[in-house]
Amino acid sequence: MKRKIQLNINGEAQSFEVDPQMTLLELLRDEMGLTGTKEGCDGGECGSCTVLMNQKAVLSCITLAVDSNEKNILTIEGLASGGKLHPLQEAFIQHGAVQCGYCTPGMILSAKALLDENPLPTEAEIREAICGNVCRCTGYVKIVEAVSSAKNEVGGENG
Amino acid sequence: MRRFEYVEPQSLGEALTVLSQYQGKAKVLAGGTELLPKMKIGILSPSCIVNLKWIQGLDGIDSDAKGVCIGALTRIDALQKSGLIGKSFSILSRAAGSVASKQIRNMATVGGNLCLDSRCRYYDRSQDWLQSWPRCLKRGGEVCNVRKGGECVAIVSNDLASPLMALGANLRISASNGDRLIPLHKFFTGKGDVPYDLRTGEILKEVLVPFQEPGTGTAFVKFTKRAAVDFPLIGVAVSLIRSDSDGTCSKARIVLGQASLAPTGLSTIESFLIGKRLDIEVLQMASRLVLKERIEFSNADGVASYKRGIVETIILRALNEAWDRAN
Repeated sequence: MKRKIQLNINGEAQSFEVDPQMTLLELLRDEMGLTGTKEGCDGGECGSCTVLMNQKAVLSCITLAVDSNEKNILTIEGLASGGKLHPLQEAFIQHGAVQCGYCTPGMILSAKALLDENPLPTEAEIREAICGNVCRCTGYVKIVEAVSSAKNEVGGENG
Repeated sequence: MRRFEYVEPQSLGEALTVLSQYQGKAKVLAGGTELLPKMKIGILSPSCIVNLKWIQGLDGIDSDAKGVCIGALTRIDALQKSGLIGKSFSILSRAAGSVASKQIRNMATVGGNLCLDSRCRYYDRSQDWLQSWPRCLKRGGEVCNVRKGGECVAIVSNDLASPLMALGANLRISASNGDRLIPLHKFFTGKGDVPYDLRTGEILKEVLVPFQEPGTGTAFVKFTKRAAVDFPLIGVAVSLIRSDSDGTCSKARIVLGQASLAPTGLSTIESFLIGKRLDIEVLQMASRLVLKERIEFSNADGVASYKRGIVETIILRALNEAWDRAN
């Protein structure tokens, strides 16, 4: 039996009727066409499905869509504003922190959640914050440098 | 995922009723960080999922004069960030911060962590992989693929059990006919296939942790293969009390996790420490006693001999740290 849910995705109110089996990842990709959030392992281990739910990084592949009822969801598509990239997105480009790009949306959102909570993280804190996001390409060094460089520009932002 | 009935109870009573009605075929949904992955790879197929997250009052950390009460639905991230927990139970904050990844800690709950199923390298696998092996005891079959016979040796692998046991925690478990209160060390059965005592129709409601006595020093050491994310290979939690009058150890609790099937109190070492001043020689002698404890190192993750080789060092580290803090 379908359930009605109402949530906010990237600043816009949305409502759906969903099967309980549907995951938040499926809702975002298949119902909303927001394909920036990726399915990697489909088991909560790789982090490529990371989105922010009420400002906290969560794994959308193991979140039921019904559990996103009444929540604020931020996907990678919601970061840029008015045609201008978010400082984290700029930093990833400037530092060569993107290769195949598959981990990137989840990685950036984990980094954003970190900087919103801890505007001046140490390198160790950055590495800890992204330890749930696997990257097969970059070796993480440029990713950590990118996040570190963005810390003076993001600090304490919300939404 | 296979289809399932889905219930969002508004009260604990309603949740308990549904669980009883489904007679073991329903599963509760807390953080979902174990349930959903296992449903996706076919290890679990509940007929009904009972979502506990919309029930008021199951999360949060309260305190009174005696100690704290941690709601079972408290997220692990919230536990880690709690000022009260950090001040009075630092090993619990540490253990919470060591669980998996940030995303998992944002979703997973304290109760869910304690109720994590035991793990084995021949069990936590996809259906494709499992097809190559005989159906094992934990899957309702006839053999153990680790031991080729005998009993299931899957290991309790959660991070919070050892520190909570060292702190003397109790659990409140709710059922339709009332609650029961049990010490955490009695919750774990020591059996691989049914690792903890939570019966059909019961829900773990709260974890109660008493404030520690003055002079207590605690430590938590988690040893893993990788720097982050991993389940513990070996975890040790220690609580030592330094007597004010003569500086000797008056009480000791040492809990070793992931060696045997359940977290184990090391009573031989505990007895050895009582009444002594714990300089480094005493602590080294104490750590050496671990191999005299009645611990059967389970090989469910393939590294029992490695664990046997490092356990003394891990215990020494934890004892040293705890005694330093016992001031």
